[in-house]
Amino acid sequence: METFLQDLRHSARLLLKTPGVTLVVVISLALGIGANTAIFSVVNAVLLRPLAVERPQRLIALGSSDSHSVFPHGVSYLDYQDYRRRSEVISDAMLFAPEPFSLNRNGQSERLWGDIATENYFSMLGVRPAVGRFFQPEDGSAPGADPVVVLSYRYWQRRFAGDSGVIGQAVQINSQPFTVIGVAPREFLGTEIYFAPDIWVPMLMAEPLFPSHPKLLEERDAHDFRCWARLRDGVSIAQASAAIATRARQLELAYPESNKNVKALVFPEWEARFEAGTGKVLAMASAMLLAVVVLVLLIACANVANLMLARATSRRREFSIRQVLGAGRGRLIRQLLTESMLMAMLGGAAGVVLAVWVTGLLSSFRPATDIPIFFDLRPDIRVLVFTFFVAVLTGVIFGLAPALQASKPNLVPSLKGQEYSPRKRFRGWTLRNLLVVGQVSVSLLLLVCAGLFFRSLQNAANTETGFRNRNLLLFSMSLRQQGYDETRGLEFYRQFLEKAAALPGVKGVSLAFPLPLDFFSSFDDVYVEGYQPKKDEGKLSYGYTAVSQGFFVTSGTPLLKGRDFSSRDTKDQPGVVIVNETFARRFWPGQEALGKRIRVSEENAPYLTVVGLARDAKYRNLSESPQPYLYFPMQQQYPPEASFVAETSGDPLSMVPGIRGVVRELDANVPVYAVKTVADHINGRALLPFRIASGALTIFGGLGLVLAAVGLYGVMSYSVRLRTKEIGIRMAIGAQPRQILKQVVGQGLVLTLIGLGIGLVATLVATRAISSILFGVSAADPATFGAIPFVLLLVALVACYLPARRAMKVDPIRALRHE
Amino acid sequence: MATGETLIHLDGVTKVFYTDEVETHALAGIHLEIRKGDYIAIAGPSGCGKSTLLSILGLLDSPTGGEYRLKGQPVAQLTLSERTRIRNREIGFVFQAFNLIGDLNVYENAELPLTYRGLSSVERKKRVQEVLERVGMAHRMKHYPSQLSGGQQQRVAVARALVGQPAILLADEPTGNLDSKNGEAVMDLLHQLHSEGATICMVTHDPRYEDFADRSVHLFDGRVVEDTVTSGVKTQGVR
Ligand SMILES: Nc1ncnc2c1ncn2[C@@H]1O[C@H](COP(=O)(O)OP(=O)(O)OP(=O)(O)O)[C@@H](O)[C@H]1O
Ligand SMILES: [Mg+2]
Repeated sequence: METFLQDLRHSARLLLKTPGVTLVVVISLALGIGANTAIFSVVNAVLLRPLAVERPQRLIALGSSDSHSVFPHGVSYLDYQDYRRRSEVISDAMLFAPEPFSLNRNGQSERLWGDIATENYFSMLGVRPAVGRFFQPEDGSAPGADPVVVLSYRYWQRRFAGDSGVIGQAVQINSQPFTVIGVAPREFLGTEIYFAPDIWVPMLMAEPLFPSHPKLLEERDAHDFRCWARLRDGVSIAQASAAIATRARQLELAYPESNKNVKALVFPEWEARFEAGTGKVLAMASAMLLAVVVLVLLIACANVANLMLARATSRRREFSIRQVLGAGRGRLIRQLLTESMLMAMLGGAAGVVLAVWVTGLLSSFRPATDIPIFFDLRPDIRVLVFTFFVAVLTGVIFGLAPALQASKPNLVPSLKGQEYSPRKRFRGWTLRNLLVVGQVSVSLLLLVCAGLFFRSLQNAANTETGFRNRNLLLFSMSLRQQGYDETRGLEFYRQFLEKAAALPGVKGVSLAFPLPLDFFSSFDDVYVEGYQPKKDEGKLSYGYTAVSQGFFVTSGTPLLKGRDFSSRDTKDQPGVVIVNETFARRFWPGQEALGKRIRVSEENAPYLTVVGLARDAKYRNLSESPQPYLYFPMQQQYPPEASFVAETSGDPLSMVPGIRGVVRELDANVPVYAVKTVADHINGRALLPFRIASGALTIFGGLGLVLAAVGLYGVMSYSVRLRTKEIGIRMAIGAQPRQILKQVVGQGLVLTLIGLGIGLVATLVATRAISSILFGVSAADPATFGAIPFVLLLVALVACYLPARRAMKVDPIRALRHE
Repeated sequence: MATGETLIHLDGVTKVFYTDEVETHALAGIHLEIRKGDYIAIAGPSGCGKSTLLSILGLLDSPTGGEYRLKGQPVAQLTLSERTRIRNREIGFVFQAFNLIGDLNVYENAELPLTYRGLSSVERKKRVQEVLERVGMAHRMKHYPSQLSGGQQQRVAVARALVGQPAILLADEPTGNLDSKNGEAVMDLLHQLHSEGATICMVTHDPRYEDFADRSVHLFDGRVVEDTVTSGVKTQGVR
């Protein structure tokens, strides 16, 4: 212990003695470790941090699948009750769904998001209230009988200033009277990590809350709810999975009408955090990001190791003397490792500061939606432990090689003052070169990936989305919670469109729901007249949007044939539909689509006649292949909320006050939200993955490049310093300065070229793994693979030129005098 | 053995170093003539300016005043690159500390001056081999300096100085780092080179080695105080 303190003091003194080197080391490490801490904080928040509930590892999520959907659906209320009843594998299950609400207090109304949840939601999770109480079993006894609401801690703080007198207060939710009964604990942010509900209301209040969906809890195929269950002690996920699958088959037999081909899916809790089934994708993305930052850290470590090697070399004499005086090798290694640990800890501490800052920035990122998306990315104790171990590991990685090398008993040449020996050439010098080569290769890998994602982003941004790319204003409004029925709702829409169209600067208006490329989408079963689905096809289900007249003109998705919907396409008139090109090609290849007929939802529903053909657009994401898609007239397929689509003649956002005024004039209680331009709309969701990937990789690749350049510069500078005398000799015997320059730069470029060669091969292999997530660019894109190495080469040239210029200025007499 | 043709002519050469406001007059008016085939020993107490004189002769440094003509040409007007070129072609250096490059083997060290000239590799190889044989180091071509004794290293350094067939060989205490046996071997080598026609200017502390030369020049406080033809008449220092 005493020697440790002694070592520590000695190390601290040494670090202070060379503040420049120490600074470079600490900054390099701070960047490397900071990047890791930041990314790990994200991964931690998304995948690792357990929910603030009782024994979260015993929770599972249930979903259902059918034959015509890639993504798992939720579970219906009736199926949930059957899964829950008399189960051998789960002790309890609960059901919930995120929903927007309108909450009115003291005559003030606000739109907010909450969960509608079964009465056992909190008890099944094992969460205890901060204030008041949670739902009790009797709260769920009769549909609509228990108007109670639980507030989130954040909402309680925000709206009620943390006043515990709130318990028992009356509020109105969707125009229904409710009583506040409790507040959730501060750390409990709901069960989906990105979505922090503000309130919870009992499931059985669904009918009065959502009058437009009166039979929501009675339809066995309304797979609208998220279902979570708690495993009984000793039951594994596999066992639970098997038992629940059996139950699903029983339900399929008992209710063939609704449950044909409906299978149950079981996920561990962490895989269902965003939505059932997204866990694997997230885990992969996390692994990739972590791999990227680990590479950055390795580059940083290589830098530091190089500096330490350089220092160790210049301290060889000191070590030899110490060894002659009887210091054991272990003692020297310990001394050197203490030094590198000290640096690593300093770097780690700076890294944490950096990470806190970066995650703060990330947390404040808000996509263009009113859903309370909230990520708690702040580093917690788990992150700090992670960072500590990374720092220790880093210290060992960059400290060990120099320590081993410097402490090698090699007394005679060091004491004689000979820095060179042919054998050493292949250790110290070559190890340093190898580090630089590695840095260059890894930087190339990172930068090429960044380049590929950047090109993807560009391509994606330039794809035909179906929206005109400027002068388009979008926003949403909801009549769901204001007690509008279909007739009043349609009348509201009609009046709104009429008044909005009359505003100056507005060229065209329309309504649509849901908007293509939004956060949610609608699907329905489709039966095409005269088309017999093939055996393996099962039910056909396609996405659709309900639109008002004028949508195709204002949005920029032109009608190719036929007619637009008109005010005469009302509910009492024959049903009509507009299909896109892919739909027409799929079912009526080579035929006239207009006049063909389909049924929607039910096999015996009335026929809808195709009256128009719309150009293909993108509907769920930009990289999708052309999808069949349908448009219904709003008057025949009433949406209780709608997105407004307006073509403007000037800046779309300047129209916002006027249009808000129109809504207020019609009904001050109708919330307007998600106001955005078309660019926000596309950027906010469809382009988001590319923006994140290209942004993150550009940052980390740039970081890698800077670190590698510093590394190359360091190695070349050190080499020049070490060889000052050699350079002096060469000049004395007639080397021209430019020959010296060429020699030094050449040496650096050889390292760079070797690094680029290795890097190119590695990158070609590595980018194949990401080819499926690129957009419109090959994983071996010649432009990227040509340009990035060139950039690296230029940077390397600069990094070598500076030391080389110093080499040119060596004065031979002085160099030879200092022996 | 001088043939009479003047190689180097110094006229009132001075050298002043300025450090921290202190002027050091390292050379205070040197007059010196070196003819082709001369073998000159420069002697004098430590700090009298011997190394400074040699650096100026070797175009590593320029005089503060006076005139230096090499083969009749004033060197003051030469550009940096011309001086480098002349160093490479006309001058061979031998240092007290050998100053071989540790990363290069014997062959590569000896070859070094030629690599800055753009000779073909065949020609280079021929010359290097020849010169290494002359100094008796041909059998150690693949060795690195650290694997050689001091005397051997100095012989390689002499080979390196000779390989470019310079007009003059400048040696600053070539035996300073050697024991007497190795030292004598190097002196024998220089003597032999001289008898084959080389022009040599050597700084030495050791009076025994002065006698190897035809002429010995004594410096004191930056001035020539004695210029003796060792084989014949001893002339008193003129200025
Ligand atoms: N670069 C320099 N800057 C300042 N003073 C210098 C410099 N080089 C030499 N001197 C001074 O010039 C004088 C002559 O130095 P020089 O090296 O020529 O002596 P020397 O005769 O070779 O001595 P020694 O026998 O010890 O090698 C000394 O006083 C020395 O301190
Ligand atoms: Mg000297």
